[in-house]
Amino acid sequence: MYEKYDILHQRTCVETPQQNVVGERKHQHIMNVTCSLLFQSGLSKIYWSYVASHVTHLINRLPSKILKGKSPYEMLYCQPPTYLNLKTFGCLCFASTLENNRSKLVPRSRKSVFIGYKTGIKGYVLLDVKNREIFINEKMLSFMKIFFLTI
Amino acid sequence: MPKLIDDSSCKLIFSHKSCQIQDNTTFKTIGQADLHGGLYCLHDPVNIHEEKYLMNCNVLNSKEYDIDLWHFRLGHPSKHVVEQVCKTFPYVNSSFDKMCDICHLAKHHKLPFQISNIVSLNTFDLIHTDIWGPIAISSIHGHKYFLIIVDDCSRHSWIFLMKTKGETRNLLHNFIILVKN
Repeated sequence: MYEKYDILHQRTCVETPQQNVVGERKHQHIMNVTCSLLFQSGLSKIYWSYVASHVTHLINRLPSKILKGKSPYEMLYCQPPTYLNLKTFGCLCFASTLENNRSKLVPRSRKSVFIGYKTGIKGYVLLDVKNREIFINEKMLSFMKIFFLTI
Repeated sequence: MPKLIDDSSCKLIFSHKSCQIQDNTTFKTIGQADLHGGLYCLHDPVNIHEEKYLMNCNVLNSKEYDIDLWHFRLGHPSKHVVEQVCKTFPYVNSSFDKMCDICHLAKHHKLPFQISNIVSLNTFDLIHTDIWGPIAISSIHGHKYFLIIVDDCSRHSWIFLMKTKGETRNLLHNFIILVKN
């Protein structure tokens, strides 16, 4: 597979993670931030995958010392990232329900918490507080200082 | 000492500054030990003809063993510690500068890793990948591992959640195709 793409595959020796320092250091960084966000949001541990994905999203957009204050995102796409659509992880959101299957007397929104972004879709991944359903919604009202699950 | 007397049937005569070793039957002096800082140090045996004395004396007297002996007695301390002991206790005369096999077997350290100074000029010249996991609590969708790919130049990282390690191949393959395009 590597020959096909002209790739030199370098491997580490057994039990020497030091040789893969960049990868291992990134793990540590991701897991540190994952823990903070998990505790901040009060979510159950089984949602760690969403936290880790969100953390990677954040780390890629944060300035790094090794890149002389630039963010990885900027290095790759040659344009600075935007922080305008960032939401705090695990914050309380009210997502509007779809209009076509809504009658007049049903709730107009779903109480949920924000758990990440979805690549390729302009929307947010949300977790319904009541029935623990994970869904994607674009239109929502977020209260970034309220972590519903920790209350 | 009782062993020495038992084995070689000799007499030990202790005096102010030295100790003489006499044969029990012939009353010949077969060895002398002088007092040095609280210890009797045996001289080179001069009057010994019999082999059994030689054997006993060799162990006590051989200068080669003396060097390591204190190093052994003190429980294989480092050269620095031995020197310190030599300074404070003058009767410890060890010049420990030999290679000790046991020390190497018992106290071998990992050698430090050199910091890599590889700098890639373009994005995707060099990527670092690593699999993390397995985690005790699998995620809500059953993921236990994640594959992390870090581009060396931009340090942009991608995370791919995996249920088994076997998915790595496909994920990498897809990633390479993505990058090529």
